[in-house]
Amino acid sequence: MHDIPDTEEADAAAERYWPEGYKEVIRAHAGQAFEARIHEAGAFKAYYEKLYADKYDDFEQFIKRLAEMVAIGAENGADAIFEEIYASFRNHASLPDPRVPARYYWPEPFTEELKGEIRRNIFKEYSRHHAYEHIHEDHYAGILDFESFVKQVASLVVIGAVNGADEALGRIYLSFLNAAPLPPARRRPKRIR
Amino acid sequence: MRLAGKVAVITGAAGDIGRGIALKFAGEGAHVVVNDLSLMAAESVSDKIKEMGQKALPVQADVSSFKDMERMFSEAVSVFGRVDILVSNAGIRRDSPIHTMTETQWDQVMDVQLKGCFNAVKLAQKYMVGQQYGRIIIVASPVPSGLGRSAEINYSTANAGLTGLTASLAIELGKYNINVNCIAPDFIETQMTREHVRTDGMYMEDFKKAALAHIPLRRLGTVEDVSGVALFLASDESGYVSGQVIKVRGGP
Repeated sequence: MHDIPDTEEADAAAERYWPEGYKEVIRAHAGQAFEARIHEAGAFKAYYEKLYADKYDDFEQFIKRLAEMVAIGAENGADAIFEEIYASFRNHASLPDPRVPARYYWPEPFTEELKGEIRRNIFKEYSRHHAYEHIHEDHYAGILDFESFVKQVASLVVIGAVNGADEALGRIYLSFLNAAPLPPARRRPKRIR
Repeated sequence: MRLAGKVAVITGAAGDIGRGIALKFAGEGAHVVVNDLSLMAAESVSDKIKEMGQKALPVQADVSSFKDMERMFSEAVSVFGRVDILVSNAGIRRDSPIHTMTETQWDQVMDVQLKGCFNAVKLAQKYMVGQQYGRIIIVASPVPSGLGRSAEINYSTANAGLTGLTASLAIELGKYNINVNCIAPDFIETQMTREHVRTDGMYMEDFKKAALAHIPLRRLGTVEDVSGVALFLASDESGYVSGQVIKVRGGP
């Protein structure tokens, strides 16, 4: 019998993650924008008082929690579209179609400036990534130049983030309508390369 | 013109109901992709549409083959540039009591009715989502879904499946401004009904007399009765109707 070296710890230590700096932008700004729009419109006060006043110290805290849930939804939406993008890499298929709803729930937490900022961050992070250079060379070089390829990925991720926030908001609204506790909102684990 | 300039894809469009819907839509200004298993039959309907001054594209394709359907939608979009309306209408019957029904009879009905519908909607929604507009009409064939009859477990099961598909799809695609509805016609005088009656060892005239006892309106339905509902569901008049199964059977 050969000795098999135990490399478990080394393997775990070698885990590398995909860059996710763009999520900091989502965390920092999407929630804030959402909160601001709720306050501007004076919305949800009645729902808070009727259904959630015993669970949150004040209205401010309640809205902050909603904003956090929407931001988590956006991050998870970005992860979900990245999974679709990777599936297209694996299957040597074209990048996924952008699926943009005709109507979003109010209030959309993403301004055009914020979308642009997220896109720029993704572009900065992923255009430097050698894995993306290889993926581009292997699958998309004849179709798109590298810059357009990464830009297209960035656009899709922003659409995924916006859709993820929209889905989170939909779940929150359903809780309001059903007089139910707010839905769970958890971030996914970091994406391993 | 209630469908002026709209592009409709109709599967099984050379059968009685499919043909009726195709001509009705063309009469209201739609351009029609006429699908059938028989190219000659599809061409005959297309020729009629062209005589009416509308554009038509006959496409031979088997709805149960995803590849065939992919080819059809790709041809449709290359000719017309978009797909606004899908009528998933293709259907077959392979009736038999359970103890004599073969696996092939079961599979054939599932392949055409259920998988065929899945193939069509999967491909159509891709374009409709991009357009943020679409109307999907699923014809559940002449049995009101959920009401079983003897010697047709494959057919009843497939049609009940289509109503489930309609509801789920309506929920999934609503946010893209795509309406999904189902028409469940019964007692419609079509070739398929005539064949079914013959298979059961009855004469059509006798069947008609007996059937009237079950129909509050005391007449058999016509293709026009079905195509009128399809037109309503395809038009903007039904913009706030989605996920519904509309029974066209002269009664509840």
